[in-house]
Amino acid sequence: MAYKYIIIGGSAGSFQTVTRILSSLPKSFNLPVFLCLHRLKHVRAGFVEALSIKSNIKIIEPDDKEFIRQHKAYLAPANYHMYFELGNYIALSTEEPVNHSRPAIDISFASAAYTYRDKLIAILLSGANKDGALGMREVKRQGGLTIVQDPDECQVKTMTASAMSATEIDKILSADKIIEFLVNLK
Amino acid sequence: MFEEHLYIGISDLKSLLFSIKMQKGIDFSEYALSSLKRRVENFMKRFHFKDIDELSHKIIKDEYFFELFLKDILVDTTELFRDPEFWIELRRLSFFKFRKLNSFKIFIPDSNSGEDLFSILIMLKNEELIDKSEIVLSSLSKLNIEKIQKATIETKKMEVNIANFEKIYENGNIYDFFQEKGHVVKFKKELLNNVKIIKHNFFSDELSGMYHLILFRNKAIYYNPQLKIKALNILKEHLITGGFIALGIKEQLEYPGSENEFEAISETEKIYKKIF
Repeated sequence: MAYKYIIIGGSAGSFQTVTRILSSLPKSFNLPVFLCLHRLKHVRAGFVEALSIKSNIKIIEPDDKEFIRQHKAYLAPANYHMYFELGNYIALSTEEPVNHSRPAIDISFASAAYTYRDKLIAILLSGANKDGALGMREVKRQGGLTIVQDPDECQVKTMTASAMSATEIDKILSADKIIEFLVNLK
Repeated sequence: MFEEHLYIGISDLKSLLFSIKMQKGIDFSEYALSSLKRRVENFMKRFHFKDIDELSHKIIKDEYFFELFLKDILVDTTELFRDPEFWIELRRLSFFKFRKLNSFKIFIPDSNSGEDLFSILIMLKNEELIDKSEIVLSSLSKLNIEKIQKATIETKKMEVNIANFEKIYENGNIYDFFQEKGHVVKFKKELLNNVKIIKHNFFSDELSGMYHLILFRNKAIYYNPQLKIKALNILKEHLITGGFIALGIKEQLEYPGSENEFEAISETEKIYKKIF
């Protein structure tokens, strides 16, 4: 299966794992990576910079209608939901928060699932609410690959456990194994 | 634990939009379809529709139901003084110009909530410019217009509004502009004296007047790229030379030739001046 897009969702306790994943991907890693992470709503600056410190791939907070390119990671901006349009560009929205979150993982995952179908890998990490569970179910329904971080390893298990109860998860992996899996993607 | 979500395909959505265009004369076909699809799905779920034909039939036949549909799929701004840094920059960059004028006009097109309207009114009042201002807000939705005219905000939403307000007016009190009424707060009526709210289809109805400032923040994110350019081309014809247009902080003012017509006077807050 040739996967072409990766989406990662996380909340409380996921920052270090995301940083580790980004720092372990080689410069040559060319699949676009979408990051939908719960974040402080009114802090606009600093998150991209913090994630970028050790990352080999360029991380950006996309503008609305920004085209999606290889070799880049796209972080959902504060206080916006992030969608993926047919035509391969990003669409932002200021709709109501979902699961008390904007950006909401459910919205980004469901939109990526619909747009990228079986070309998508969705990875859900540590978090303290159930955001992402319905999104994961949608990824599964559209033929994408679902991965959750091993709940025993998560600082907060609610998010991954909710996803596991909402749908059948393809792989339950430790952070190390997630990295190994991504690095070895052909 | 999890409810079943209802999903429609893009072809279903397009067929619905086609019926609306034919029967109601409103063209949503160039909206950003990914978020529109989700809002239509949520609407169908809320009113227990099983498929798109059932929904299509109901909104074509039932005028009030069509208004409910419009209200739900047209999106709100969500908070007062969203992005306080923007409002601070807007005040710094444009208000000194407004002071020199005897009167000035502000346009808030295609708007579905009153937040940007109330925010600019509060700022104009605080800066003693409100009496010189004339503001026009337009919306496609009758019910959203009624909501804006009512000028109420749920009390539970005030926490974020206050936090934003206090970033701009450290020692200010937002309740100078609102009255508390049970579970809502009501914007003071006298602040709305110079405001005209009109039902208007931005893309097909005639637009009159020239404006000194157009607040167009986080509206074009619901359009596709072609429709966004159309909107900007309409708006620029109604902006005086030297006037300002503001987009959302994650939007770009870009179309072929735009660099000859607009100058970005705040790159981060997306405030542009018409130079030609």
